[in-house]
Amino acid sequence: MIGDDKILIEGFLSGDERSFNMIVIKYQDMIFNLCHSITGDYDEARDCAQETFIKVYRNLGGFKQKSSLSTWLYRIAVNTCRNRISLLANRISRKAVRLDGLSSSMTASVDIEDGRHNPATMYEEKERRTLLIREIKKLPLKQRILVVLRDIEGKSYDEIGTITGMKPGTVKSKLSRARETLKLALRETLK
Amino acid sequence: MKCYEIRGLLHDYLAEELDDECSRMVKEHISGCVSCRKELEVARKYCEALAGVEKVSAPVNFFSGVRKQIEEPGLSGRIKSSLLYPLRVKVPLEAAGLAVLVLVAVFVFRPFDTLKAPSPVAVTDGSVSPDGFSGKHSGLPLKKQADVMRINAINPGEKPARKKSPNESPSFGASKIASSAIEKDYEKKELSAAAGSPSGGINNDISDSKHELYVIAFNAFIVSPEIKKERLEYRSREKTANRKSSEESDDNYSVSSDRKSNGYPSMAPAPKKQASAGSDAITMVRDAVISAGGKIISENTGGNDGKVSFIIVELPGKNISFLKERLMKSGNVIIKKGPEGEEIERTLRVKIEINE
Repeated sequence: MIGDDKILIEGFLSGDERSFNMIVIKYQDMIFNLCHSITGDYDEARDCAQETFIKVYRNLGGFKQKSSLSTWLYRIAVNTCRNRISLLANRISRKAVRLDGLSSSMTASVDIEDGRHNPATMYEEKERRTLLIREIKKLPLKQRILVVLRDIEGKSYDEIGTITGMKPGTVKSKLSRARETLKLALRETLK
Repeated sequence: MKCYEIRGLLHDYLAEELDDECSRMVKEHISGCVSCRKELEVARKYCEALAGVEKVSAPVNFFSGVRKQIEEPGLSGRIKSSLLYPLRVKVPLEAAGLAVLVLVAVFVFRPFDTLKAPSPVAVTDGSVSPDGFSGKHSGLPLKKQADVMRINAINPGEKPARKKSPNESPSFGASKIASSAIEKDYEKKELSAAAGSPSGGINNDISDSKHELYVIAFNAFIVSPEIKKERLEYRSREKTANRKSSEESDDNYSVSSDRKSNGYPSMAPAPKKQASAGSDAITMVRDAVISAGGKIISENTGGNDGKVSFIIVELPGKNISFLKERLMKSGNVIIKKGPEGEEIERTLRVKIEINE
């Protein structure tokens, strides 16, 4: 059984590497899933999640434990994804445009990007997920992060404020706009 | 509550995060509003769709990848660590501070600019002390090429040099010619140096005029006493050389010892008696400048006796002729050089020498 976060942190700070390993094992799925929802790309999600844990390894000594470890991890992961998306925005967009430009009848670029990780015969749930991820990915980055944190991860407004550094009022207003955009895009699916 | 207010609360209503009062109001409104009820249904489907998204698990080799990156940093990390950690060449703080100071000094004093273009300074008299000059002019705006009209005013008690009778003593006439030759030679150097500057064209025009006018390109760009001192020494050497050449060319004449000690060769006679700084000539010049709409920039003392040797004034270019007229009316003024053209728009800086 993986111990309490506080014990793991203290163990790591006292030089026990196994404590850090347990932190990674405990939170790797959560962080990877978050990164995948934000980036919409499997490889990018893996890189972002691994980079998140490397940052945790190097900065855990400075963690003041004002928030929970999971919130701190979320914050690092969100910032890592944000930075990576900003840096690679041009490359990703060029890649998508190139794939889209091969044929007008070709399916959307997201299908191609994720195709190698999805089986040829997709289940309905996976199709829905693909559609949702694609529409979420079209949102502006700040709105995308808020939708993922609130509507997929189920975080409270206060937690989202802690993770993103936004005020709760800003979170609500941006989230409202993002939801309207998504509802419009998913109106066929939501019928 | 209005419909748009209710719709803003629907997601929180579905998440059961509203307080009892708000929740009751939303419930009552929905029961009576068809459009809001439809909106609630869309919101419910939206929440179900997003919350029901299947979670993606981390790759199998995720943990080993993290450990590998921690234990073996990437290529960029290795390069950074090898170059910077630890820093093999340590720069002492004192050396860095000294380098910064040197850079600031170079930027402020700009010795290279001075060596590149030794612009003429409006110091034509070697007897002017360097400190006095820099002290008076350091506050002037850095106007690269301002024209200076030099006007010699003499004591009203003495006759103007121009009104001297031609049959005066040969020695004095010779000295005057020698002085004039020195002055013209020096003037040519001044003008030729100024011709290299962008505004040198004005000076060329003046040098070609028929009037006995004397304009010196004035450059107020003095950055340090040392540099200015070098300039003055250079000028002093130059003047000495010119004087010697003039003496050699006029073997039959000799410059009087008074002129040599005076430092600057002038057509006006050397001072024979001491006059106070507030003498008639200075008062007359001050009045003329003020009446011409000008202002006195500085009054400079030429020697240890505290006398005012020259005055730097600034006045509109179009008032130059008025100033000349005022000074000429006194009958004791010889205008030796001055800018041509009555309609000079810009402000001119004029140097008025007082030889009492």
